[in-house]
Amino acid sequence: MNREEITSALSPIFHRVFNNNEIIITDDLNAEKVDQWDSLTHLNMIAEVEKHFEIKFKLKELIGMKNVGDMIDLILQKKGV
Amino acid sequence: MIRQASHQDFDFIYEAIVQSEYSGGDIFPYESLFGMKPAEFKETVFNIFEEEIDGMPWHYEHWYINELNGHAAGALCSWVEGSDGLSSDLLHAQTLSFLLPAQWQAAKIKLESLSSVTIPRVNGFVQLEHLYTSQDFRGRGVMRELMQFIFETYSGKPFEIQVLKGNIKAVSLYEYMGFSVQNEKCNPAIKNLALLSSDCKLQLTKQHE
Repeated sequence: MNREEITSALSPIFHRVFNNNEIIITDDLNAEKVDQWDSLTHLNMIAEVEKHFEIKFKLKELIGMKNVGDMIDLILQKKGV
Repeated sequence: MIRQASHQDFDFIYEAIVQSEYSGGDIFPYESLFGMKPAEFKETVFNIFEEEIDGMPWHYEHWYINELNGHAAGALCSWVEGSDGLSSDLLHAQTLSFLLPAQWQAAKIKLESLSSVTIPRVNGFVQLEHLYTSQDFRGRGVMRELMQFIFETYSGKPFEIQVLKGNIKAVSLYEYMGFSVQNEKCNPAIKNLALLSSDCKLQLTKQHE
């Protein structure tokens, strides 16, 4: 699994959770750039990502995530890539 | 005397959190959401403070105590929104959902109602939260002093407070201190579900002096 594959997998998750098909996954994407991204949808998104990739984030990791790029780095790390 | 809080202030800080969450009414939102009475919720809050999470309002470095005659008389929590790159509300939700996963999951429908009155805090604005004066020290200017201290500490920056509209005494004090209402969000379901003491939330701001 590489960065591009993770980005592709994130796309439908984000579209579904934020109910917005226009979201384009980029490394610098964060809550400020998506209207529907609030604390509740954020947590739904994290739960969906954990389920899809069969991983579990630690609290410290969740707090350290500033954007989607950080999340992709963590997924890569957790999948041992 | 105003000073920054430390570990030994936890009990008073927790009193401030509980009383400010009641917001002049009779509903403790965390009990409505997670079924935890104030005494039961205390350990969770203590664990969050002990984690010392950067950017998290529930962190000793963001708390100030006003002492009178050697007694903690008032407290408030203050931070600059977004200074750590993450919204404080998001950080708060993330931490609670991590520490209380089962309760969070069970509260999802209620949380959705609550999010309908969520007003995003403005990045770069100094936030004032959990403003609390102990019953024995009310009417002595304890909170005015604390607020003035924050205005001077963050001189030149704009300020923001969010409060339930039903907390008329608090709103009057904030307006007296120079804040004005910028935004209001209401949802009657909030009161019907007994989630908060008032179904409207206010966002008040004050530009720098």
